[in-house]
Amino acid sequence: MGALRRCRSGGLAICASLICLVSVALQPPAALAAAGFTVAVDAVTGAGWSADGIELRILPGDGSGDIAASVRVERLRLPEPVGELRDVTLRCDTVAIATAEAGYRCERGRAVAQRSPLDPEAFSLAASYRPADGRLILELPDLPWQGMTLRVSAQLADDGWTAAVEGADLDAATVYGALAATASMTSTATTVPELEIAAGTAGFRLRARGEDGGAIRIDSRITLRDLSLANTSGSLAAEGLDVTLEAQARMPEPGGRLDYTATLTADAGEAYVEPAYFNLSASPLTLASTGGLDLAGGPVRIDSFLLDHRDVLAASGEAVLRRGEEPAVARADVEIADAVFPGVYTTYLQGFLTGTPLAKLETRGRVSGRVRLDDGGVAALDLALDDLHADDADGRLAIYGARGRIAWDVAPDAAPVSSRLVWDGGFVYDAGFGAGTAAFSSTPDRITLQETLRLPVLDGALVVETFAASGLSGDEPAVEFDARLEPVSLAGITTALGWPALPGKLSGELPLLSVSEGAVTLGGSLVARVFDGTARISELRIEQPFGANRRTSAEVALDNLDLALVTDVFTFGRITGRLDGAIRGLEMLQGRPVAFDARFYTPADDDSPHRISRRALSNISEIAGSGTAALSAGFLGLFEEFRYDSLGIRCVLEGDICSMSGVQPAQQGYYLVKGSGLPRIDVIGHSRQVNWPRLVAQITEALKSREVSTSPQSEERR
Amino acid sequence: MIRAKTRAMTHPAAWLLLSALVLAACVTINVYFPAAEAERAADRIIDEVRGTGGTEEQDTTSRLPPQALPARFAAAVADFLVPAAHAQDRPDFDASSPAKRALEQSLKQRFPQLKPYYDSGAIGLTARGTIEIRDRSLIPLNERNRVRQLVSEQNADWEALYREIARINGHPEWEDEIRQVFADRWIAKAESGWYYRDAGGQWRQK
Repeated sequence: MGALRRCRSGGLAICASLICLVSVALQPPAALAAAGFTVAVDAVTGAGWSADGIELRILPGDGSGDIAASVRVERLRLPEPVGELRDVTLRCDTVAIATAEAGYRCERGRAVAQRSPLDPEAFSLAASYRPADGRLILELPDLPWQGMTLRVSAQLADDGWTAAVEGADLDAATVYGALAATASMTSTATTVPELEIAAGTAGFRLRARGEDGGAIRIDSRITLRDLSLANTSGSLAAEGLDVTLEAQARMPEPGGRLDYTATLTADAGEAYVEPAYFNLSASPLTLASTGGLDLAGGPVRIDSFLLDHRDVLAASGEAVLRRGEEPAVARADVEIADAVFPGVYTTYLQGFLTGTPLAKLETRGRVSGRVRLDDGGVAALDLALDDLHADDADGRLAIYGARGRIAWDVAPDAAPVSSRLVWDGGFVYDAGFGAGTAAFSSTPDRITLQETLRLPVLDGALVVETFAASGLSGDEPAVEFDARLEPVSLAGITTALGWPALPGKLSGELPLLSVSEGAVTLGGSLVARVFDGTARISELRIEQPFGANRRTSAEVALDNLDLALVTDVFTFGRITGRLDGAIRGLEMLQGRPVAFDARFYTPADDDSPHRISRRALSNISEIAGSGTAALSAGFLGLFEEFRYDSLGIRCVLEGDICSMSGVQPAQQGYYLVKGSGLPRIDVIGHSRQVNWPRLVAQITEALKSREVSTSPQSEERR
Repeated sequence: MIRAKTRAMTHPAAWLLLSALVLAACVTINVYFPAAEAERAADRIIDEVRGTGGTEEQDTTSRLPPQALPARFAAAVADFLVPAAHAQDRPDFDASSPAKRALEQSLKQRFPQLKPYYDSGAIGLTARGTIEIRDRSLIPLNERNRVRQLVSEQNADWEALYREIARINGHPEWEDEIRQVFADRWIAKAESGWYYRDAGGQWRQK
């Protein structure tokens, strides 16, 4: 009876149960067994299992002292995932009966069980039972389970139990199907993602040990080779993946908390965990971790992890992960020992930056430091940059040789932290800048420039005296800004734009900067002393500075330029006199003008000599679409220069159409040049609507013809 | 007197005159959306972006319901009454602007990079005049993020183009209609084997 009690408490699996029954039945004197008999039992129940319609048959042995035995159970109900089995028969051809100390042994057993009449499953078994200490040992070398063959062994004793399951060279898809079926049957809080496994083999070794007091220890090793899989949406996928997982776990009580130590190694193939992409053949990774979780639900606690992703990232730390339909990081403290660019950018960062100006960078360099994450993303960071280079493939921005420290902490009670960044140079669109240093102090809601930032631009510099952005957690941060542009040679700017080198310098005060709805507006103005006059750019506003549809608007005013100096540079044909001008409502899309109202004209109070060369007249006439034949005909051909009263042009650009007008209306058209004296030449424009791209092409052509020709024929073609 | 007035108003000529005035007033503010013109312009832009120039197989059947007779009549009368003065106010979907040209150019440059994914069925056309990743499993793992970026950029350009066409024509409120026309024309002109979302949002293969 003692044996029966132990059997009930230890009902582990089908075979264990049956061998238990046999051993109970064999408690009577061996002599009786030698003669053979049959015992029928209606039902036996235990914790979590029951057997109905049991028939035990003891058959006479072959005379060597051993006997044969068989047990048949009509219906055996075992805990999931095994479930209900019908017509279970177990036959042992060699049952050794020894003393109570040595116990009983079934050496060549054979069992047949079926889940349905059409699907019988037969397997071998060997078992022994020793009543003295209640030790039951079970070996199932070829147990069929969910279409696979597993090797199972178990040992039950008064002080606990051990069980081992092993499988080798299994089809990964079959293993996954079995696990998913098991998980759904046992309906624990663990959800198995829906995966389609296209290829791969799996092997595993699982050892479990039950201790006195109910604790369970599990020691496992799982290897997956050449695994190809994908989830339904394709956001999770792997190809040719080799993974090894070694894990040890301890459950103080079954189904309760689980503490683990695990090491995952992935050293071949590729994986995509949207939006991160891993090329593991090129950069294998090892992730070692310890932690725990509550099997009934709740977060996963990662007490420590150590990631070694070759040539990409070496990091360690601790974290809490939320489980559920959308697993997420609830909290993480990460110590980055070495983040190597471009590996860390292409693997971990680039996918998250899709659609931003930082999505197409070519990177190089290293970063180390600490990052703290919480529910809302990055909560704090303290990074050291080591010779970091980032270059946008679309040429929008670049920074070279960045080094220093960037720190930020968004905790409400965090003390201000300082950052200091040094760089060798970079670009913002076509504007290159040189080496500089920026020192910032930041609180959760405010970033302040701590010392004057001097950004070399060509032979001048942009000097930022004040920069402070506050309200960073909101949509529209308030910015305090005060900067000035130290004189920059126009020559450098204009040659960078592919224009002739202009004399003069550009400088200015930029006392304000505001950011609103993705647009940056600069207060103040940039002034260039140019051609003995001034050019002033103000109300500069840039929408989507780094977006695909960058829109820039500005107002430009030209005051009292010396036309002689202008035409010397542009080889447009010499003109003397003064010129005023204004470009109102200038709008540019990706650096090309799309709308403006531009006027250039002789100032009313200009009393300097007004002279215009035949070549200039010819060029103006071409632009206006007028003929120039008259200039070379007859006695006019004798004059190289003419006097003029005033000249001017106005173009209102909208779309592709420039609406043209001049200094004043003429009888048919408008005056572009109003002559004076004798011989008097007027240039009258007739085209009111001019195609802007064609006009630009004409002007470019006129400016390009640098070799000043003396031949009237080539000057006045028509 | 009253009777005479009434009779005068019932005279067909008086009605015609009144209608004509009303219609003329309507036309000057141009509230109707010229869908047929928009369709033709969309076809040209789509051909330009795909670099096909309209040589390959095309579905030329218009998806528009036939324009109601009264509306056509109204348009004819309006054209007659306001020939020159308002001609420039009438929408011209082929009107160009630097922004439109830049967007078309950018769409055209990106299209060949996206074409293989249209062909494989990895991306498909939406009912909103944009594209979408339909089946990631058809994209090699190392290309998935690049395709996500391309799709994001192409869609940003399409949206900007619809906005710009509406803006050039002086009717920013037409953006949705223009988008719809492009959506329909893209689907109509899709190559055999490409995927698109039908009105119910289901993927279908052309």
